[in-house]
Amino acid sequence: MSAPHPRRLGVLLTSHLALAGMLTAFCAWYLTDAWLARASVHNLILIAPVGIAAILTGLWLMVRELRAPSVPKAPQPGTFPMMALLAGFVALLPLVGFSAGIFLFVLGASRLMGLRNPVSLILYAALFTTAAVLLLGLVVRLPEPAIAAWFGAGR
Amino acid sequence: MDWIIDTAAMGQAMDLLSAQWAPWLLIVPGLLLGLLAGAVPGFGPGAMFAIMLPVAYHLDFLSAMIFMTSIFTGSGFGVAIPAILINVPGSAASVATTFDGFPMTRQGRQNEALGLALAASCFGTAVSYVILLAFIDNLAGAVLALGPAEMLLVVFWGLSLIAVMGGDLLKGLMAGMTGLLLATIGFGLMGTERGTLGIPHLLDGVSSISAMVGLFAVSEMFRLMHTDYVVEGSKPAPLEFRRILDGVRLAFRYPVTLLRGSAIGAMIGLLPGVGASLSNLFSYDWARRAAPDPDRFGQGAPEGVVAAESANSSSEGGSMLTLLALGIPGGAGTAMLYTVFALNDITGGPRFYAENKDVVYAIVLNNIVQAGALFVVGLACVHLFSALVRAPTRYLVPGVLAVSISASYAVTGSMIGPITALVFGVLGWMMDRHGYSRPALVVGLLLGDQLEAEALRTFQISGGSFDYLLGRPIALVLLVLLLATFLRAAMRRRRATGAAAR
Repeated sequence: MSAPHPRRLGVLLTSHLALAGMLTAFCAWYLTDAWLARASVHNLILIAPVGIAAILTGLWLMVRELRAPSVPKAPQPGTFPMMALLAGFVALLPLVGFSAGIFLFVLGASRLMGLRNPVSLILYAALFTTAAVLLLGLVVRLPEPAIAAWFGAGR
Repeated sequence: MDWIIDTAAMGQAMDLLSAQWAPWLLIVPGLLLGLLAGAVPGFGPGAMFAIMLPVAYHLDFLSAMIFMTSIFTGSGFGVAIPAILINVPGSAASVATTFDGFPMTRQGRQNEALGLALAASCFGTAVSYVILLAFIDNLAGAVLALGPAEMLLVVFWGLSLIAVMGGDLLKGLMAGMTGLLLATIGFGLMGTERGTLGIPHLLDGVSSISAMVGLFAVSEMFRLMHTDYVVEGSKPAPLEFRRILDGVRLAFRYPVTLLRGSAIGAMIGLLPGVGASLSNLFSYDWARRAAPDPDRFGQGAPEGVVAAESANSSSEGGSMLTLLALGIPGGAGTAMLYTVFALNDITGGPRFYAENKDVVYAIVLNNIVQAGALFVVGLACVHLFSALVRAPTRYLVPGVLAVSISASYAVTGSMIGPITALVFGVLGWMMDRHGYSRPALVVGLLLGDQLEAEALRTFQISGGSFDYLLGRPIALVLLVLLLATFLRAAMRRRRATGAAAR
C-alpha cells in the first residue's frame, strides 16, 4: 500500500472530522484520567457531566460530518512550513537562547514569506531581534545560553 | 433602582489616581496599541491584548487595568479606519460603519467620516463608563445576594451565550466545554492531580495567557500569512486635518443618534458574547428606522457612522460592568482583562467590587479620561494608522510570531509558555478553519475553576438534592434562561438549515 500524497494527508489532518475527533478524544482521555485519579463526586462534579456532554457533542459532530461532509479545504501552501519553523524556534530556544532564536526564526520566516534580498533579510532580522530583545529584556530576564557560551569561550 | 455613587470611595479613587503618575503614562501607549490593533484588519484587539499581557504581568493591578482598557478604548476607533477608508471592517464591531462610512469615502468625504467616527467613539466610551458608574452598585449588590447555585447558573448562562453566538450551536458548545475541561487540568479542589501527564508545569493548570496568545495572535498570523499586504489592492484616500475636525463638529449635530447609540451599546455590551459585534448593527438599524428619510442610509449618511461607532465603543463600558459586577468576561477582550485580575490573585465579581470600590472607581474615572485622550491621539495619528492597511505581511507575520512566543515565555518564565502558545496557535487555526468559537474556548478556560468551585458548593449545601434548586426562584429563572438560550439557538439553526434546503 502506497503512502498518501502529502497534500492529501494535509487535507485529511486539517479536516473537520480530524478536529472533531481530536477534541472528542481529548475529552474522553481527560474524563478517564480524572476518573482513575479519584472516582468521587468532589473530583468529578464538573468534569463528569461536562466531559460526557462534550464526548456526545463531539460524536454528534463527527456523525454529522460523515453524513454530510463539508467541502475539503487544503491548507494554503506555506502554512505547514511556517508551523514547522515556529515549532523549530520553540525547540531551539532553550539551546540557543532568545537573541539567536529570534534572529534565526525571523530570518527563516521572512524568507518563507517571500523576502528574497539577502541584505534586506539579514538587516530586518537583526534590527527586529535587537528591538525585541531590548524591549522584552525590560520585563523579563531572557535566557541566552549561546551568547553566554560565546563569551565564556572567549575568556 | 437607585443611582448610588459612594462619594467616600470616589474621593479615595481620586486620591489613588492623583497619588501616582505612572498609570497616566500608560494611557497613550495603550491607545496607540489599540488603534494599531483595530486599524490592521484581521489582527484585532484580541491578539494585541494577548501579546501585551506579559507587560500587564509586570505592572500593579490598577496600572495593568488602565493599560489594558486603553488598548480596548483605542481599538474602538481603530476598527473604523479601514472600515471607512477601504470598506474592510477592522473587526466585527465596525461592520455597520462600512455601510455609510465607505460611501462617504467614495464621495470624497473620508475626512468627515473619520471625524464622525472619532467623535462618536469618544462620546460612546465616555457615556458607557458614566452608565457603569451609575449602575454598578445596584448590580453588584444584587449579585452579592445570590447563592452558589445561582452563581453556577449565571456562569453557565454566560458561557452558553458566548458558545451559541458563533453560528453553529454544536461547535460553540464543543469549544466551550473543551475550554472548561482544559481549565480543570492540574490539582483539583480536593488536591487530586488530573490530566497532567506527569508534567510538573501542568500541576498549576494550563497557562491561560499563553493559550490566549496562541489562540488569538499565533493563529491569526497563520491566516494572515497568505496575503502580500494586510489588505490587498487597497489605496487609502488622502486625509486633511481641518476636514476631519469638520466631521467631529458634524457628529454633535446628531445628539439623539449619539446618545441612543451609546445607550444601546452599553446595554448590549452587558450580555456576554454579544457586545460590540451586535451593538453596531442594532444601533445602525434603529437609527435608519427612526430617520425621517431612511433611504439616505447606505448612501453616505453621517448618522449611520455616528450610530455604529457610538454603539460599538460604548459596548466596552457595558462589558466592563458585567466583568466587574458579575466577574464574568463577556468576550475575548474582557477575558484578557479577567486575566489581569488572576495575575494579581484577585477574583473579580461583586465581592471584589464591594471591597475595592476605590480601585473600580479609579478605573472608571481613568477610562472617562481615556475617551478624551483618544480624541487627541486619534486626531494626531489617524494619518499613520490609515497607512497600516498597506502593511506588508512579510514583515508583520514573522515579527508578531516571534514576539508572541517570547511574550508567552515572559509570562510563565519557562518553556511551557511557548509550547502552550504553539499548541493553541495550531488549535486556534484549525478552529477558525472550521467555524469553532475561539472566544468560547477561552472563556471556558477562564471560568472552569470558578464553575467547579460553585458546583461543589451547591452540592455541599443541597446535599445533592435537586429539590434545593426548585426552592430558589432566581435559580429557576436562570435555569429557564439557560434552556431558552439553547432552544433559541437550536431553532435558529433549524430555520437556517430549512432555508438552505429550500
